[in-house]
Amino acid sequence: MEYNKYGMSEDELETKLDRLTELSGELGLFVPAARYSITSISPSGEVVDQRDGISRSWVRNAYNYIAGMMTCNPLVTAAFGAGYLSMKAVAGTMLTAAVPEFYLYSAGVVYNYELNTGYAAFVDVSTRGIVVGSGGIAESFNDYKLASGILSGTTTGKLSYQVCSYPSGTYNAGTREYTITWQRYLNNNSGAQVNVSEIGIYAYVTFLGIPTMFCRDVVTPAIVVTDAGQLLVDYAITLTYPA
Amino acid sequence: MGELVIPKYNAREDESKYIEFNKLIRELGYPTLEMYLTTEIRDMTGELVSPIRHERAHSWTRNAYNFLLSNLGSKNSSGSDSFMGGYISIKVVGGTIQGDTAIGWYPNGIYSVAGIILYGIIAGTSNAGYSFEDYNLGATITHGTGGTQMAYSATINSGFVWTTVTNPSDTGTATIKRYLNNNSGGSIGVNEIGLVYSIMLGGGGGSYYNLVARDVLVGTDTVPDAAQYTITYTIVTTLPA
Repeated sequence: MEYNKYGMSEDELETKLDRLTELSGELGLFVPAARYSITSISPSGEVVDQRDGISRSWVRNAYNYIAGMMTCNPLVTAAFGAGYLSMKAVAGTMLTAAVPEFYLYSAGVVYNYELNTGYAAFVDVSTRGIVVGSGGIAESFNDYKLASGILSGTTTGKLSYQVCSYPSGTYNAGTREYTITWQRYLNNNSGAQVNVSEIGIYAYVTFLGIPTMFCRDVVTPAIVVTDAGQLLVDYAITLTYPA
Repeated sequence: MGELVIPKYNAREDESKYIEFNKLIRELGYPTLEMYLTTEIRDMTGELVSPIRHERAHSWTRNAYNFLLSNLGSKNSSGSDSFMGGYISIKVVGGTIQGDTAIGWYPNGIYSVAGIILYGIIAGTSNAGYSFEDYNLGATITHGTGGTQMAYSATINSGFVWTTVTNPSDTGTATIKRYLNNNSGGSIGVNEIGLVYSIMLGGGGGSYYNLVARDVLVGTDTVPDAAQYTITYTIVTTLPA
């Protein structure tokens, strides 16, 4: 299955998203929109390349997470696809949950969505939070992992993932938009350039804390991270409140 | 049997806008949850005493938005000092503002057992207009058999059903239902319906009751003595085209 929006120009998508946002405010129906920004920074700190875009990427997992959570319905494990309220982990396994939710961090017994569960990730962890990859395969609604995730490390083809935590939260009273921005730096200490052609978010969900992809965006052409350079990836999630 | 009626609700009831909205969410691939409300009144023999009411619910409240934002944006709740734009706080049914900047909200249940009206579907008698800031019904009908009470059965999860078609795209529908029996000895007029979540703040914390939807009826649903009142919320997710 393919989104219609995949073939849409950025301008057309922006126009339609503006109209959708307007309607959502008028009708009192929430529409969480997402935008991304990806920036390649040279060793001297100069911006080498920078891309911004509207995310085309909420995948089936995110839809079913919202539907299951907001109606307190259990996930099923029979299959992942049309007709199933199910979620598929990055590892390819089916999730089990009475109600889908972020992971209960057992050590601190807290649900700190900004530090130890949800989209948060610790340093050198490439299986949670904002993640990047080298697979340029087109997005699909059924994607459950990056096509080719880049691991954290300092050897060839790897990037050193920094902490992903404490997103910013800003509110625009004029537009009634609340925007949560998650950000992650990745350092290239591999000794050679690394090409990044996909980005995404792996959330930490269910009582078992299972990484599960919520969104994926392909970056075309690939963005180059030079040796000793740095990559910065932002995801901004905006909810517009009703008029 | 009464016939299905789809009454106008208020100025927002412009179905063409919903159609445009629905087309855009399918085309652009953004999740949302549309909501419908159905009520019916049957006498002790099971006969409808008035037409079935079926209409769009217009009722998500700030509490619902904040709960969703916390859980989809992976953002902790805001502090307990403000319930307004710019804060991811919850105003519980009792009226206090709850929040903690170090933890987020998570779901704990909708499907209350019989007699419990702290959460689940609830009904009330107030016809005060809907506000996005509503955190409680105007005048909740309590559980019982006294003069202004109704006997609440359990809030039922009637399942999550997918409709798989090619155009429009797949939809998934959750159905939440509750029966209320009027054994009060007189008629009771219902003017408002609400949906309350039980949610928790952080691990091991207590439950908080969070009104996420309130619908004010156009015209009172009058439930005669010995009649049964059925309330159904259907919540629909529409997948991308």
